Amino acid sequence: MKHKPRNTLLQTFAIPSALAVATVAGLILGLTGDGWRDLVSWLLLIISLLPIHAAFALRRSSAHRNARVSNSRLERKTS
Amino acid sequence: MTQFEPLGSRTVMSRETIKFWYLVHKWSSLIPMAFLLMLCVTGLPLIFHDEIDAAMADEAGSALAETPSAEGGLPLDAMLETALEQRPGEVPLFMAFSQDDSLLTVTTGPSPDADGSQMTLLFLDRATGESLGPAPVNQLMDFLLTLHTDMFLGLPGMWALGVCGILFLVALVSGIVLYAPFMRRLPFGTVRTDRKPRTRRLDEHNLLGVVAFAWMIVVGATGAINAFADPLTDSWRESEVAAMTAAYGAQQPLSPDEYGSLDAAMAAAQEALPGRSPQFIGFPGGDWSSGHHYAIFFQGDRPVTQNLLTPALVDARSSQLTDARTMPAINQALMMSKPLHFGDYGGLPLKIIWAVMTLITIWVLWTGILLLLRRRSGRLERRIAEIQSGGTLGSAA
Repeated sequence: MKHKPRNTLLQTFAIPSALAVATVAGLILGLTGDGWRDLVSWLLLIISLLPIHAAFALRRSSAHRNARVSNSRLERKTS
Repeated sequence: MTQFEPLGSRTVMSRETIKFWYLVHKWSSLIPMAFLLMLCVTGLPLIFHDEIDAAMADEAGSALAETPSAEGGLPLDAMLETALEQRPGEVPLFMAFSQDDSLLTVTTGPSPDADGSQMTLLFLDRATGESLGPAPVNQLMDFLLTLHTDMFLGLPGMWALGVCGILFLVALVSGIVLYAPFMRRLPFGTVRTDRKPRTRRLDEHNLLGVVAFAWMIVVGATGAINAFADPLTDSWRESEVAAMTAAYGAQQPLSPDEYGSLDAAMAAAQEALPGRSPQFIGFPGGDWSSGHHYAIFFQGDRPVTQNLLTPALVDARSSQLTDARTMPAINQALMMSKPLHFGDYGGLPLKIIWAVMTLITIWVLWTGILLLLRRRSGRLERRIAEIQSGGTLGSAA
């Protein structure tokens, strides 16, 4: 654990800053006009929320995989 | 690697620094926690205020004409007369225009400086001149709005919530500072489900917090600005309006039976500010005008400046223009902050995004409470170790 490479501040905040820029751009774009600006504003805000969806989808699939592994172990034990 | 490369450096944040920011984060979130949760829970239905009101007052809105009441229709004097017939003995306080349909609203009260609780909001159709009766009252929404704005405590309640908003901003910034040491060895988006529930909660708190950070900062800051709105309006009236109407200084406030033509006043104002659409008129003696003027507030003429209002002060007796000046920067910031707080400027999709962001905020607050409370006392060193190690150490308590 101790020898795992550490993230630099730049690495830690690369994605969070990109998300923050997308959010602020979306919020301001929507405020400055209607039509395509609203559309791009929604897209930017939805993009800024995608990592949550991705993280939880990943979590579900890994939980699913873990469940499958333990099931197959169980099957081996019982057979 | 040189020593002077803060962003690219792998320097470890010292225990003392982490301790300082941890304590800032803890107290700036713990103190306003109950209020912040209340604001989120009441704010969630308020996002859809318009939709809920429209659904409940279906019949009132469906028959309106498409010509916006801000652009034209029957004379304003006739509309005002129709409104006042319904409230005998009362005086007009505000007249507000719609940019979408022919709905025109008139607010009346017992006196020019009447309190909000004594006001009556009347709906009228500027295309037909018909009265649509008092605005439908939605008691649940009104209750939620008052709770969200001042908790039924008036100005002190607003300021208390404003302070909660400022503490929320401190909590957000300190949270971002602590995110750095916590994520030192973890990739972005880590949610560990195979560890203790506490580790999973920490990961969720960090991920959701950092993703919604910018939105929470914007809504927190604009909410705090709104909480201090009344003193800002007062100061505008006491400095700017007083300066514009210095010539009237010694005169007694105008009595309502001396009010002159609104249509003539509107024409005089539109001559000074051509091409602008009126949003509302503040009548003499109220919070939004002087004792002698119709203050006609016009929207900006471009989408960017649509939320920035410019008042034209028109002598309420003679209907002659006195002055038209843009509002001071602080009041303009206040006006821009309203849509950014309400999320009502980008149609239904934006409102849904607002609701999702609010739910995320609730989850960040909730996991925050669990992380702070579900532990034994005297474990500050453990918390620091937990942050320093990205949740692998110190969570044994």
